This record gives sequence, structure tokens and C-alpha cells, in this order.
Amino acid sequence: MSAYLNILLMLFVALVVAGCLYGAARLVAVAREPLTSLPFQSGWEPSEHALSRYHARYYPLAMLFLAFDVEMLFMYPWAVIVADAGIGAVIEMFVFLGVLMAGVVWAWREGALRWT
Amino acid sequence: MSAVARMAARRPHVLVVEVPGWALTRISAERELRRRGWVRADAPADSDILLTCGLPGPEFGEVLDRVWDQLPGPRVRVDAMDPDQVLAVLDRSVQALLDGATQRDDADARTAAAAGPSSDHDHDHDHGSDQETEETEPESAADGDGDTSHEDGDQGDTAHEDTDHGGMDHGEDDQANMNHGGMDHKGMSHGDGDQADMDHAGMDHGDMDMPMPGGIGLAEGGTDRDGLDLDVLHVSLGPVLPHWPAGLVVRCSLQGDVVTDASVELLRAADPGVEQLHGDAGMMRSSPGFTSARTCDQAAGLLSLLGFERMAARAERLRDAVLDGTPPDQVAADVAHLGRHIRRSRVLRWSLEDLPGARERLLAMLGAAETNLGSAADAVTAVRYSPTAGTAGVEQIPGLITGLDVTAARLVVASLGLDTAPVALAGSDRD
Amino acid sequence: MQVGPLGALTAAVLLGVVAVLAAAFDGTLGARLQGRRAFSGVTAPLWEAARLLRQRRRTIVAADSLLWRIGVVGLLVVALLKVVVVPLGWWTVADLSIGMVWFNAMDVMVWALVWLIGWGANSAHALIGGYRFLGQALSYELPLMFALTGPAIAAGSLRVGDVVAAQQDLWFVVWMPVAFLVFCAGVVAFSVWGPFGAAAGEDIAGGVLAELSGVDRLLVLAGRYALLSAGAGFVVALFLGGGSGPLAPAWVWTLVKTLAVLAALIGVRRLLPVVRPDRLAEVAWIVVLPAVLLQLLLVGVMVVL
Repeated sequence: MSAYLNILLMLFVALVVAGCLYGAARLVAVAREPLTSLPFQSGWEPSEHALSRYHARYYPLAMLFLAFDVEMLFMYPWAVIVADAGIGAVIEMFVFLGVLMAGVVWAWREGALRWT
Repeated sequence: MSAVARMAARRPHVLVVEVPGWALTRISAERELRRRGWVRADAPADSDILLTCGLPGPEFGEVLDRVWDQLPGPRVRVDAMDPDQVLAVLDRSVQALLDGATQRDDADARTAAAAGPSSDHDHDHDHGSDQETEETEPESAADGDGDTSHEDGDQGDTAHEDTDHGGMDHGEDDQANMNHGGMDHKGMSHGDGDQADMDHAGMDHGDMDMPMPGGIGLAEGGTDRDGLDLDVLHVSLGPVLPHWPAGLVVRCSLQGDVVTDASVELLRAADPGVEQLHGDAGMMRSSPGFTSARTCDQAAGLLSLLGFERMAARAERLRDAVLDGTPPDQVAADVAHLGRHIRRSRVLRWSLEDLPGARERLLAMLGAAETNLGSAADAVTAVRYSPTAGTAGVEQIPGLITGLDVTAARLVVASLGLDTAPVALAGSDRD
Repeated sequence: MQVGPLGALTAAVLLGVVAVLAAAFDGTLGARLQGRRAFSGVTAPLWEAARLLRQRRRTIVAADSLLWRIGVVGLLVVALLKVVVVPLGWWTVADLSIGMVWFNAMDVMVWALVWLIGWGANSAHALIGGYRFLGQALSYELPLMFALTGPAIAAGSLRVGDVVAAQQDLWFVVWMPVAFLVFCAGVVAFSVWGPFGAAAGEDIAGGVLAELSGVDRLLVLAGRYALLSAGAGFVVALFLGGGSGPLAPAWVWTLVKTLAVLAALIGVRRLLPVVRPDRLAEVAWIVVLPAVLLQLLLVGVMVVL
């Protein structure tokens, strides 16, 4: 368990480092309070807030990614036991990956990997 | 404190803005930055020094005032009217950056100015900004030249009035449309939450319970090219943008990062600027040296936008070599060498593959620079580089970039190699 | 080998030193490229840090300050949390049995953090940068994850120490060159660096960096170097035999190799143009991903035979 304690410790160290930097900046900076500014738009005023429903044009790709990402869950335990399980495990995994890859190729042909 | 300031001032970041007609001054400034190892900033947030090259017209001036308001500080605002001023102006800027007391006063004045208007939206603001413009000017410390400090005072005010009334009214208008989607509400509540957070940090901003955070409206929906109802942002590209033709403004409607609509305008130099121009770049405009330096500069800009730093730096060094008076045939050989490199680069070909003509125009730029330099050595009249799309003028830009994403649009505009100076000076018709 | 509580502090300091060296090297390359004496760039990180500490912080009207702050501080934190599983010689701060998964989990955090930096500012350019990073992440993450699995298969363990030990005879880079290169590219990509720096591109005025000033900017820039450094350290453990080497003690070898990999990653910034995420997708999914899978197949077959 001491491994996780060390991770907690590292998290603490990281936050202290960040805190120290903020503290140093408060001492050194020309002003302590942040400047409230308009967003940079080449020198024009924004006509609306930028926070909005952004058109992420790669959403089909994101779907595809999810399929593969879930696959990674199987990949890790498989990596540990594959040497013991033998060639059967390799074949099974790569048939599965092949099926996924076929899906990728299909999506590619459908244009899911292009969004411009 | 002062030790930190001295270290900080060793490598200031400079936001260089070119007014149409002052390309040579801007290029000289960039050359000097490179020589000193200073950094050219991409945005006001990253800038210590706002360097205006040339004499902006009133509208351009307002734009610059707004940009100036966005520099975090320590900050210095300076102008250069011709290449010879650049050195002195930069030296003075460092001195002004080092002046801790003035910089702190500037920061305090801005804090006070910001606290003013939020307690009373309409009336106090102008007062606040007056105070700001009066006490802010670290540039007054930096401005040895009387002639460069001209318009600051009153233009500052105009800009602030704009900020207030324009922005505020807009907000009220949009309030009716507030309930467009769940997102909008979220945006609002974030605004509030963050206010609380800032108070913790020792900020005293007064109230923010006006209906629209900051008096800015929320984005509204619009049908995109796939038939989805998505928010549209209206974003202007230019005039203050890295590697962008001087004074050019492209007003874009964006959905995501796709330009769905665009219109174009030009910000001009001030009227007396015409004469200034003839004193500055005007004299050199026809010289083959200037023309080829400018073409190298445009190539460097396009390469920078591609993120191809090594090639961009080479093009910039060639540009500077021309102006440094390196023998033209020598530079021409180097330009030819760079051109061969770029022509051979597969990765560059691949990254511009989907933008027809961009790579060819880049190569044409370098080819023209080489020809010009070669002919300069032979004392033959120089060929003026005239790209096909460039002659069609800035009016073509909307047609070219609508439907592209922002990066592609920027690359296309940069590849046109536009020279806005003749257009911005001569009125609507260029050439 | 698991180390005591002081190990965390040592690792943090070491990461800091390596990151500063990386920044100094980048400054040197930049100075040379601009035609100045190379040495004049060494101090660039020092001047830059002083400048940013002195500079005032900024907030944007109606910015999402809390989320913005999380993103800004997060990069450095995540980089430090990554090095807990990177062995220095034979010592590891946290010798987790699932160290590989831990590293992977931390690098996925970068998705959220970079996006938050872009989102929090309430600025169009930053927002575009943030979403651009997600578009890029969709392309680099899978090849990165699969490349990571290669050494795990070969070692039969997800413990980073076991992976290093499994390279006693032969470094994995020798028979997993594809996985090695892809993983290096992944490190560059999650550090928003060089060819994969589109999210902070000049064309959108610095993108996610566009509205950052002062210490906030310093944290993000430092976080990027720290991510690169942590990634380089992990590359050494996975593919370059960790601390193995003649004469010098293991920890020296780890450091030397890490610095060498890091120098290469820093250098690549200026050699290649920035890859636009939409151009990357096709290559990543149709060329790189199958190539990594074939590499895994090769590794799998070698292991069972």
C-alpha cells in the first residue's frame, strides 16, 4: 500500500510546487489581482461568449475511438497472461482486433476519418 | 524584485503590429528582435511591448487601444515610424519595463478602473478609463520622441466608450434569446461561480449580477453544412494577428472552427501616413531589394503558419540578409537552395495537399524573390511578384476561405502573398 | 524497488531539473536557428520564468476560472504523477503492479486538461485550440496505448520494473522499433509539442495559450516540458533497457538515456511542420494503427513460441 501513499505524497508535492509558484508570483508580479480582460480577437470586441455548442466535426471518429478504447480494457489483462495461455490467446485477440480494424476500414471508406 | 525585473527584461516579448505601408519598419523590427533574442508574441496576453509600426488611422487606432488594454503588464506601448527608429524605440521600451514603480502604478490604475465600472455600469466607466489613460502610459516614460505619442489620449477614450455602450447594449438585446439551450445556462452559472472564486483570491470586482456576464451576448444557433443546429461565433481575423497581411480584417462566422461566412475590409493608415509612407517604404517600394525581402517575408509567414520553424527561420534570415546589404547574387543562391529544399520536402507537400495551389504559390514566392535578387545583381528592372489570386485582390478572400477551417483559411490567405499597402492607401481599388 | 517517502521529493526535483534542461536545450536550438550564438539561448528558460513571474495574471470576462485553473495546474501535476512509476535505475517511487496502466491513465488526463485550458478562457482562439487537441488525441491515443502494450506482452507484466528486467538480454527497441517510434510520437503529442502542437498553433494566436499570462502561462509551459521529460523517462524504461549499461550505476544510465531521448524529442520540434489534426486522422488510423497492431502480433507470436 505504500506505493499509493507515495503517489498521494507526490500529488501533495505537485500541489505544493504549484502553490509555491503562485505564491512567488504574488510577491513578484506587478499586481496581485489578475487583470480582467476581454478575450483576444485580433483587437475587436467579442460579439458573443466563446463558450458555446462547438461543432466538433470529428464526432464519428470519437465513436470509433470509443469502440477501440473499450478494447484496451481486454488488452491489459491479456498482455499479462498471453505467454502462459499460448498461441490460442494470440489468435483470439487478433481475430477480435481484426474485426475492429475491419470496422475502421469501413468507417474510413464512409469518410469518417475526414472532416474538412 | 528589481533582480527579477532585470532578468525578466532580458527577453521581452513584443507584439509587432504593422500598419499598411510600413512593412519595412515591421521587418526591421523583427530583424532586430531576432538579433537580440527577443520574442515575437502571438497575442497580447504574451506581450510586454506593443510596437506599432506606422501611423494607424482612427479605426485601426481603436483596435490597437483595445489590444493595449489586454496586455497583462508590465507593459509598454511604443511606435516606430521608420526602420531607423526601431533600435532606439526598443531600447527605451526595456527601460520602461524595468521601471517597477511606474509599472505598479499602471497596474493599480487599471485595477481601479476595472473596479469602477462594475459598480456603476454606464457612468463611472468613462471616468475610470480617463484615470487609466492618464496614469497608465508607461509609454510616456518610454517616449522620447514627441512625434510618436500623438493620438493616445483621446483615442483611448473613444475605445472605452465603445466597450461600454456597444457591448452592453448588445448584451441586453441578446437576453431575449437566452434560453436557447441548456448550454447557455451553464455558461451563465459558470460566470457566477467564477466570480465567487475570484473574490476568494482577493479580487474585489463588485457585482456581476447583470444578466449577461460582461455585457456580451451568448452565441446563437444556426444551421451548419451538415444540417445540425450549432452555435455561431462571429470572430474577426486581423488586423492584429501573427503573419497576417497588414490592416486586413476578415469577419468570419465560425461554427466550430469552420468558416461558414466571411466578409473582408481593410483598416487604413492615418491620412498623414501617406506622406510618411513615401518617407519610409515608399522610397524603397520599387527597389528590387525591398520587393524580394518582402517576398521572402511572406514565404516565411506561410512557413511559420505551417509550423515549419526551420524553414521559416531560414526564409527570415534570407529576408534580413537582403536588407543587411548582403550581395544579392549570394542571397539569390541561398533562396534557390531553400526553394529546392521546400520543393523536395514530402512532408510539406503532404500537409498542403488539400489546399490546391498553396504550395505552388509558396514556391512561386521564392522563385520570384530569387529572380528579383538575380536581376538586381544585373541591374535589370526587377520583376514585381504578382500571384494570380493576389491580383484578384482581397475581395476574393471570402470566396476562397468559406467552408475551410481556420488553419486552412489562414494558410490560404498567407499563400496569396497580399500586399495591402497600395489598397489601403489608394482607396478601394488596388493597382 | 519501492523507495520511501523521500523518493517522491527526489523524483519531483529530478523531473524539474530535467525539464529545465529540456527548456534550455530548446532555447539553444532556437538561438542557433535564428543565427545567434547557440549558448545565448541556454538562459532562455530562466529569463522566461522571471518574466512570467513578474507578469500579471489575467482573467477573461466571464471565464470559467475554476476549470481554467484546474487545466493550468493540472499539466504539471499529471507529469509528476507520471514519474512515480518511472524507475530511476532500480528505484521507483510507486512500484505499482499496474504501472503501465497508471501511466496510460495519467496521459489520458491530458485530454481533459488541455481542453479545459482552452475552454476555461472563454475565448474563441483558445476554444478552437482546446477542441483541436481533442481531435488530435483521437488519433494519437490508440497507437500510443497499443505501443505501450508491446513491452507489457513481452515482459508478461504490467509492472514497469518487470518490463525493465525483461530487457536484460535485449532491449525492446531492437525488436519493437515500430512501437518505440509510435510511443515517442505519442509523447510528443500528449505534450502538445512540435509537430503535434496544433492546439497551441501560431495560426490561432497561440490557441490554448492565447489568453494565458503570468504564472498561469509559466505553469502550462513548465507542464509541457515536464510531460515531455516524464514521457522520455518512460520510453527509456519501456524500450531502452532502463538503467542497464556498463560501468556507471543504473541511475546514471537512466538519466543519460532519458536526456538523449528528450533531446531528440525537443529537436523534432523544428524539423517538421505542425500536423493539422484533420490531416493526421487518416494516417493514424489507416497506417499507424495497423502497423502497431502488426508489431503486437509479432510480439505476441514471439512470446508464445
